[in-house]
Amino acid sequence: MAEIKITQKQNNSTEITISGELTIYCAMDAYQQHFQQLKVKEITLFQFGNISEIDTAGVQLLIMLMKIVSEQKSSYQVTSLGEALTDYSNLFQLNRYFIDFEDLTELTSDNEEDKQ
Amino acid sequence: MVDKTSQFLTFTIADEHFGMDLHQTREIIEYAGITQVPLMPQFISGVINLRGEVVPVIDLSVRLGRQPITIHKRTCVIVIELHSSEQHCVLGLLADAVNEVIDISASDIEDAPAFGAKIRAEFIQGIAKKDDEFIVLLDAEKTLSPVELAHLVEAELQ
Amino acid sequence: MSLDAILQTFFVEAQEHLESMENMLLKMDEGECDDEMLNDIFRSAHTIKGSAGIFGLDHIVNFTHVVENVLDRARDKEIEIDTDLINVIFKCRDHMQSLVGVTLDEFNAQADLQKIDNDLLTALAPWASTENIEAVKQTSTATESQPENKLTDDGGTDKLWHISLRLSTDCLKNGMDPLSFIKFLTSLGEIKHIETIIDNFPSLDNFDAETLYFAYEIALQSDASLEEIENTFMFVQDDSDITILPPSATIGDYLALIDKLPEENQRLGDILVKCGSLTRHTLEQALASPSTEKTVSEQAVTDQPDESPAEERKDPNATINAALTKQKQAKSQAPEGKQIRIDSSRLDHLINLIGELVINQQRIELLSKDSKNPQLIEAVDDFDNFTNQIRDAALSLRMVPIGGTFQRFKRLVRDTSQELGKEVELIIDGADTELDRLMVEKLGDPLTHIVRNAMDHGLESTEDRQAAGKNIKGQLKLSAYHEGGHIVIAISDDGNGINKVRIREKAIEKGIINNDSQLSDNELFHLIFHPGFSTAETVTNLSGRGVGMDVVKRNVEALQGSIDISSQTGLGSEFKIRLPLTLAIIDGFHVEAKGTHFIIPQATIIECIDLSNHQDIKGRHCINLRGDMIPYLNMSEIFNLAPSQKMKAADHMTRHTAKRELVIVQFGSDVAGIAVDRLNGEIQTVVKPLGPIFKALKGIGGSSLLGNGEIAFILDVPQLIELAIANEIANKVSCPESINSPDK
Repeated sequence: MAEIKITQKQNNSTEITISGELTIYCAMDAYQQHFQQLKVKEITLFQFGNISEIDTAGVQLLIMLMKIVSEQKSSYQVTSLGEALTDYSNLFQLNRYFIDFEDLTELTSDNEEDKQ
Repeated sequence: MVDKTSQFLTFTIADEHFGMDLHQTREIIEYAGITQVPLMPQFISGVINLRGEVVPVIDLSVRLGRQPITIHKRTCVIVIELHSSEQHCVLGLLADAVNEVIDISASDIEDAPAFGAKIRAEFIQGIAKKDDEFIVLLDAEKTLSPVELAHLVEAELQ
Repeated sequence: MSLDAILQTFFVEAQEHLESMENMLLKMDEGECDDEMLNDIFRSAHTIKGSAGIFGLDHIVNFTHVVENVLDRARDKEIEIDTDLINVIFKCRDHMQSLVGVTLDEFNAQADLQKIDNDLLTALAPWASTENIEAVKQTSTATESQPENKLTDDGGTDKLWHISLRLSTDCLKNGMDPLSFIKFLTSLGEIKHIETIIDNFPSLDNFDAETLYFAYEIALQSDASLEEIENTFMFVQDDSDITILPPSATIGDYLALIDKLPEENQRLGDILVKCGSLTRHTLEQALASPSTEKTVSEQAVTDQPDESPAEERKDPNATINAALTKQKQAKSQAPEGKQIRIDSSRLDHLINLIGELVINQQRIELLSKDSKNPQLIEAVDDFDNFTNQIRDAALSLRMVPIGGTFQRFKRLVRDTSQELGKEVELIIDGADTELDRLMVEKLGDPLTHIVRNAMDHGLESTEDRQAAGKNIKGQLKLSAYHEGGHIVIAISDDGNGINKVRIREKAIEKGIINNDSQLSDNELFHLIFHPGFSTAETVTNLSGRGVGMDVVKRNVEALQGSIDISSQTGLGSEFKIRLPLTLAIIDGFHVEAKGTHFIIPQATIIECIDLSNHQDIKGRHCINLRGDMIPYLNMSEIFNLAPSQKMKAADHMTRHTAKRELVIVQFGSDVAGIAVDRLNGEIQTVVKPLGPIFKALKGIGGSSLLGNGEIAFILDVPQLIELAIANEIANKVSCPESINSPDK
């Protein structure tokens, strides 16, 4: 089961951390419990580094999550990816979603500070 | 851990109270006649047509070593379902009356007394006390094990 | 369908392929060998490998790959097919069967299986191309296999396929993750580009996390065949839209694809360009012209766009090739449209429901007759007619030809004859005779025993046959045919026949019969079904130690069948198994005894007579029927029936009209009567098994519900007769004629 933590931070950002197995077995629950009513601030930071296993349902969920976030006009940034998601992303050539975001680079420096 | 409680269906045969794990019971139906199966030992009352299913009915009283149950107006059939054996097995049990469903916590169940029990100890899961009355909690898997019953039938037929 | 169900499909299909491999090998073994057969065997191995790969069953993939390689070389005439090779392939086929039966983990845990694996690979070595064996031996010992090894790696050619996937939205729920297909594709070649299309994502509220929204466009560079690529998606074909464009596809094919797909054309075009499947130039030209596929493809042929990957597609033959490929595709899919695979439990459920319908219909018929409303009666008559047709149609769904079962014996006979050093010819007759699938499944074991027995004990050794002036080649015949309401399966041989003297001696020695027992031939033959009876001078490992034949009898009886033996010294013997057509619904005759309802299977009934017109002979339960002595049994006696309460009440009313009826039944060669109180007429009835508790109850084969909801017991006539005999013996009734030999 995936563990999902959503932290609303002081500096106008929301941090979403997902760890564990994000697969079809928990995708439905994860969506309904955490994402359907999700409200994010101006900046959203995704921590996917501790996802230990992911399948197509899990990746769909992440893409949906990114859509939700974009719809709320929040800028997002994937701050960590992890091996499972990297493998999937490489196989399906999805790096444009998870690694090469062209338009979000300016946020990087702010993020680093927030994390401290 | 909280004290584990289980639900039991309680019923009466000849003034004695019995309980059976609610999960094993499926439904209770009115006794509306029975088709006797030739050559069967006394504890097998016969078979009934349960909505198109032919279900054997057991006289629990005989199975527990007592007199056969006397059929009267309010006699009912408790339909139970056993899953433990390889195939699941549906059986009917004759009872004089079905009383209620009660919660009994594990701590209120005492071991079957080794002495003087009129019922073979392995048939009993335990004894519970409710309103000053003893309820014999039956171990349906043992009392009504299809394999065991089939052996008894075989013995009767020889 | 869950993943388990899909795996199940894989097992069933693998089984079918293995069977077909076996049949082809058997034909080749008999000296028939043509390219088509080799192709068939190759395709079977190939398909098994392919599907196993999808499920990550690497142990199957690795082994089968070498077998496939050898078959491929044989196909290409690089190696010659001889008996040695056929023998090895036979063994490989068997091993594949074992492999299909275990999981990868189980395989890795079983040293003996791995040993067989290695031994067979070594045995195959002389025929295989060497790199192949080495590669696979390595992978089979390595914990993680490398799919790259499985394919010839001459990556020089530039065959670019385009695969467009709009998979069933339910495929995630069904346990099929696109991940496994894409991974498998990487074992077929290199994925040049894959575009995951997320256009189909729904709004926030409509998002279902278990539905697949992704669509894929894939450019795959591979030397694999269309079939191989297609097979990747074998298990998601239903409800999925999968388009595979071969390297030879024309621009027209791509345009057709763009038109067909739900996404916007320009966007799709862009994706195809990204995949490298199309050049922007070609695409723009094509999309600009509002033409039909045909003209566009012509255009593609004449057009010469710059350095496009579609360049090879420009040769005029390409269009024809594409058309051919499609045609081939259509051809290979055609039979699938005619046959569907259904889970047998769903079929059983349908048949049960129809059984209920039949019961209900009978009830309505009763009511309509009571109503005396002629229109209603007529309508119900029509209904009756249709119900019967539905019933027959439903039952026929479950009927399968026995040929498949017979076919399996070819291999058994081949192997056994080699082992015994006897030459045996197997003749199969009536392979298209159909019987209930349930029975087919349960017949395998008894038939195997009888066939082995016939080869081991029935047929003589080559020398003996020569000495007796017989054809050296022994003959074994399996036949099936209808006889009355039954199906008869006969196994006959032209061997030495059953040695009656030997059986008798043995039975006396074993204490089964007395020294002075008088037995008819039939009774004598039936002694071999006695538990613990074995007459072979030497017990071979084939027919075992006499534990087989009693099991045979029991199995056949469990199917409500019977078994007869006939034999002539020096000429051979014949085992005849008689089985009812189906187990689910029987035509019966409804009778009553002391208020209890019984159904006698119609197929066993010869006639009904009024017993009060006949006198018992010498005070025994025997009557003289047109000169024949017919023993009979009393239902109320044999089942110890006491009149029910209801009966007692009705008794005084019926007493003076109470007749005694006798139903004359025949089973095998035995004729006997069953005395009952009342005949209620013919009835069609659904057999309801009585359940495990009543297993020991002899004479009753099951139960059935009557139109009015009451329960009737279905008689098992042979068992009933046996029971009567047993009772008679137990009661020490001095009756020199046993009940089952009426005509002596």
